[in-house]
Amino acid sequence: MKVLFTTIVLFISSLCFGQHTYFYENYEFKEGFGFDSIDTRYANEEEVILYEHIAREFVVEDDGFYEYLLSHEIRYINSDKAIEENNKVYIPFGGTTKILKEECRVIKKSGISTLDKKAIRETEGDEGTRQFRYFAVESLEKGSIVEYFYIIRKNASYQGTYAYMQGSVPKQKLVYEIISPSHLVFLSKGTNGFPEPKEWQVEGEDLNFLHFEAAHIPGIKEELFANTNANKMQLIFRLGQNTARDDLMMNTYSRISDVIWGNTHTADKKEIKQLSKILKGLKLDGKELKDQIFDIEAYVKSNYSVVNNSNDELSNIKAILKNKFCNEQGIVLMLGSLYEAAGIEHEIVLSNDRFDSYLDREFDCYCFLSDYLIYFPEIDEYLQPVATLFRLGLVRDDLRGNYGLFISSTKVGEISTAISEIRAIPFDSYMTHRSDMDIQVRLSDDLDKAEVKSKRLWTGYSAVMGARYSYVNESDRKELDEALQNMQIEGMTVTKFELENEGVENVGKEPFIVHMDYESSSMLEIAGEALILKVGVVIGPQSELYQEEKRKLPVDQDNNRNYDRKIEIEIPEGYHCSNLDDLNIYAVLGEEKNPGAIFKSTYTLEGNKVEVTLIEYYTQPQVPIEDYDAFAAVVNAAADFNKVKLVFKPN
Amino acid sequence: MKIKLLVLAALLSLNTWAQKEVNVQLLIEEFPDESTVVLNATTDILIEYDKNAKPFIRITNEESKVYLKDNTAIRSMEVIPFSIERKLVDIEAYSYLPNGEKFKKQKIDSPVYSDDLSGSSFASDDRKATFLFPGLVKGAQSYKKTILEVHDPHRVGLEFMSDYYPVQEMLYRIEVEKGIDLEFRFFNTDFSTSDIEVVEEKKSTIYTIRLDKIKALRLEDGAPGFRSIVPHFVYTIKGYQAEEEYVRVFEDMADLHNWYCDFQKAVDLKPSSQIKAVADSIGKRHATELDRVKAIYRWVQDNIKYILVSEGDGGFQSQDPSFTCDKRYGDCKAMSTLLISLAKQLDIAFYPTWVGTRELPYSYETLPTPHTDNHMIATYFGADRKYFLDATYSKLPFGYSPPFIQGKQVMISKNCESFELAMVPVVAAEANRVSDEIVVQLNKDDFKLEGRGVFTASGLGKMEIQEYYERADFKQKFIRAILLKGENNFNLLDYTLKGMTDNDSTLVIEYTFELPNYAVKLDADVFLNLHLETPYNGDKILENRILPIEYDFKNQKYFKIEFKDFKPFRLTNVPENTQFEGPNMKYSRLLRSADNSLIMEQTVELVGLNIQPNQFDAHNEFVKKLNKTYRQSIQLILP
Repeated sequence: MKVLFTTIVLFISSLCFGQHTYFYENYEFKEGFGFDSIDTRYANEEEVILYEHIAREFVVEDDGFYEYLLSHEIRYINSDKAIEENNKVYIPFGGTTKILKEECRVIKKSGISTLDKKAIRETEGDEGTRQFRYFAVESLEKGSIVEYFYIIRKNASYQGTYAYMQGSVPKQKLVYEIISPSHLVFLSKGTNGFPEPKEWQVEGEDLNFLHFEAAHIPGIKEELFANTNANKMQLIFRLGQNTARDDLMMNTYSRISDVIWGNTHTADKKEIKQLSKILKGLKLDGKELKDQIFDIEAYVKSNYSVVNNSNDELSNIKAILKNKFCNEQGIVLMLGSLYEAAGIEHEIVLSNDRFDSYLDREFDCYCFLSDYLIYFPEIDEYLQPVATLFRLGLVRDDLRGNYGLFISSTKVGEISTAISEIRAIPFDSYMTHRSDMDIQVRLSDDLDKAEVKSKRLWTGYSAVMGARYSYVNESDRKELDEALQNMQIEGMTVTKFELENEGVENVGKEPFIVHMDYESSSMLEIAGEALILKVGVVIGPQSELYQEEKRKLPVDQDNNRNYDRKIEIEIPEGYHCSNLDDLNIYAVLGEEKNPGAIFKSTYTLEGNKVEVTLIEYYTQPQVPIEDYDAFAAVVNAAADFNKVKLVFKPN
Repeated sequence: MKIKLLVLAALLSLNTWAQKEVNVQLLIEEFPDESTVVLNATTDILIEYDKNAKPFIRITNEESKVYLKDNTAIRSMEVIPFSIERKLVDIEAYSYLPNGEKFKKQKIDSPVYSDDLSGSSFASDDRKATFLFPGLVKGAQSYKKTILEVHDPHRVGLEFMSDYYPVQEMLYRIEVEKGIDLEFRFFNTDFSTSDIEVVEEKKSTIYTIRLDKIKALRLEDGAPGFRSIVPHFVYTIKGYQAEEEYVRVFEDMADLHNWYCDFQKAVDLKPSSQIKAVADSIGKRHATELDRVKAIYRWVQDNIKYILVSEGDGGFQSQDPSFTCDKRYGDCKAMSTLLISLAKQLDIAFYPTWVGTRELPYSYETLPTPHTDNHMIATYFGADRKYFLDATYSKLPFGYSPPFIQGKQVMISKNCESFELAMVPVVAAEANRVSDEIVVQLNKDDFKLEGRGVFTASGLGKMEIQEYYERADFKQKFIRAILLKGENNFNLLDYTLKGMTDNDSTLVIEYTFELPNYAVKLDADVFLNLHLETPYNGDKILENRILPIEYDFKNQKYFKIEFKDFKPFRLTNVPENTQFEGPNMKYSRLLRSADNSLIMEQTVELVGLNIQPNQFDAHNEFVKKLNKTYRQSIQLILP
């Protein structure tokens, strides 16, 4: 959900250049992108974008500031999959967005067929619902070229955008343009090798023209443990200057801090009074600061639900208290105001999902301010208002490892001002997210199956499974149980299943624990008198990176994490085991003393009891491509352990 | 006195839909895991003559719920689906919020109306109204009333007798004006026609269906489709007395066929030049009728993309074949009429055919209404069999039917005067065969298993692989996943593919591989489990499962492993031959050894498409035997 800066008004309309038509008003289909133009390097591709042209022209008109968006694409379609992915086109419109032009044609060796406008459908809906004009691309077949463009006029989004210049399909040629009146200067930055713009002068036009051009942008595919989007070529831009007003600081973070603070803290005395009453009911006096913060958060999250809607009522304290629901803005306002009323020092943090894009420290862009956190400097902890299942300390993992805009309020005399700075939101320690196991394995008395007693303990993200129990119905509950019982051990029967600390009230306080006993005959293979115990399966299925196609992207994981596991194996009486050394598995990324990732399993033998200790943890979510093999070795070491079999032979 | 009674009645009726007297604590004890209980769900269906003397249907639904948990605000949102055919004329809704001993009534904000693009249709008349119940907390109640109107008597009436929450009382009250004939049929329930309370009034008949204490609906993975498991009833308007004559709606199958035929008649079958050109080209390249049939079918599969259009009469009305051929897309109806049109150009008769997918538990004899089917194909009568041609599956081999209509009844329209019923056969397991034959050796240095293999797949087994392969981003990774055996450190060294792009030929993958750390070396011995593939080993059905399990299609899996050149080791503990079967599966294992080789063949067949709850135990017994069979390893010892 994007942050709405509704209170910002942009004073630019004072300068009006009379009746302006937009630059690409007479735009037509592009010639010169036929079959001959396809570069030979794409001969075996299923799909190629031969030409893409996006132009965003910002125009000041009498009644407002608008953007004319041209989106034009010429795509070579060379497989059934490509047809299926391209045979429907949806153009967003509705509200103030108007479609000015829409054209589509399919070029085949046998000729060209152009879309009949009558075939375009349109959705209907009330204000605020998503609307589309849409059509099926007709006469599309393998080996054809589909070309379409549309131009829409919409409210200008000038406060900052990041746009992907690279996608999963290769692009032969890309043109991206930002056009604005000469007094409005857009600033831009390309990432991951996207080229600098050429500044164009167009004769007879008093326009700023940023013209970007790139050729042969390769397609980028999803890989395991990778951040595909952040590795794409991107273009970040915003309206940065209004020279007619000598304003060179437009849309910078310093401009917006007061607004954000104001939007997230009520100044209405009546509302503050109502909130104080709530605080009183929470009986916070005498509690430690951390508990006070926790209790306020728990109160709000369990009594108000977040609805994805921008209706004003949902971000107005009076209405929220009455209706019990709010939107993201509303829940931040509730929490911010409550913490302020309770006199608890806090900062409002805005950041974004790093798996979409990393917040760029050098380029101010409101596009990176899409998710709210609240930071408490005294205890150095964060909370995420909108995350119902999370509590203090736990925030969505894609927001960690990114930078954020931290806004705090300070008083100078009687006047409060908000100040902001960019700081890192660090990853949690690997010990925050634990998935531990304590397991005992023995064979049944008739030596026909394995019997397992297990205690699994989770903290951090993994413990959120337990929180879900607070929100379920009976049938969902069975599903959750079944998910926890599924160790992917064939033929297993659960004989005991007990939960400890389930429920959202335990998140961030107590670990979530599952006690489970089970038995499986498949875990025990038989070869004559020898018994083969597939003991490794008790740690459950593991991620593996055994045989990947050539790795292209560096590793970017969700979070740090730790797995402490102990397995006690009882060798049946009258048997011995001479391949216990198979339990020793080791792989490390970096130095063992301070590893980026490590897997190490060792054992001790006492009498007929084998005690296996497994250490596995990840302390470095981001691993450069040159260390990929060492990283994969650690991941695979755990997967290798999952396959360990012990052979018991009669004495 | 009369006035007093009226006032009392008015008060009573108001009270009916004020908040209910409910002991929330008792409900929590009764439903400890439920967040919500439906206290009352009442549906009033009024069927009467409109001003044109045609039946007109008004459906009034009222529902009150109570919320039993904290965190209940997440259940605020309600979505009311409707369409142009089922017009939503009114919504009224309130929250009743606990306020000390009493309740405070709070009205909802205006609902938001929008098109509903969430369904499978590219274009449809589906719309939705969305609103939020304000202020919900534990112990709160909600009430909603919706009124829908339907003007076409062909387009009613299926009602579900269940909910995702427990329902305390459910009531259907169907009032039918005299002269309109109605029929009820019940599915997946013990409730029957004789349980309906019938009251004859002067001008109408009132049918009441009363249910109470309905358990919350629980769906499970792998279960048959929704309508095959959820209790529901269908009320059909058989016909009605109009001013001058009796008008039949859906009295019997012929009425349904006639109704469909009207849509067929509206299709412009005149062939475009494109249709003629395609047909001509097929005619020139293929001489026999069957070859031409195959080629027509294949052309539509290859060239027309499936896009579902169900707006207006689009749910029943096909677009014209010329349009489909030219625009290269269409839904099942469009593809069927194009097949018919192409065939006609070559003087071959294909017949329009309707069929319900397996989810629909009906037959035309018992339910001659549009509820019975949801799909259209074309039928060709060959010399020795019927061919049910469904071009919506672009990879389906010729002569096969897709899984979701196998075993279903079809209505074949010979012409607008006659039709015939038939069954789509269930394809035998052998026809959907996947086999994997490998020859392996043990590397005597590192005890890695090394081998080569030939994998083949035909029928629907092959179709599945072909569909996934086409969509896979990393083709090699996908092929590795298909061939993976032993453990997931399986290393695919090399492979060649044959037949992946042609629907009708068998897929053949020849490959070499190695499998490290699979054989267990222990002192001088090596332990090796030759069951490198263990299908259905994890298929045990959980004890608390309620619903039957449905499989897509019957199939046969065959695995042959030849383990050779193991000398100087000697083999011991070679497993024995075995075979056994369960309610819908069969397994066999054969071993034979020669001087320096051991061959093991396994065949697993899925011979039935369903496992019923009363077969769960027998099935689990079968899986248990499989578990025990698969765990038998061989031992290699140095003499």
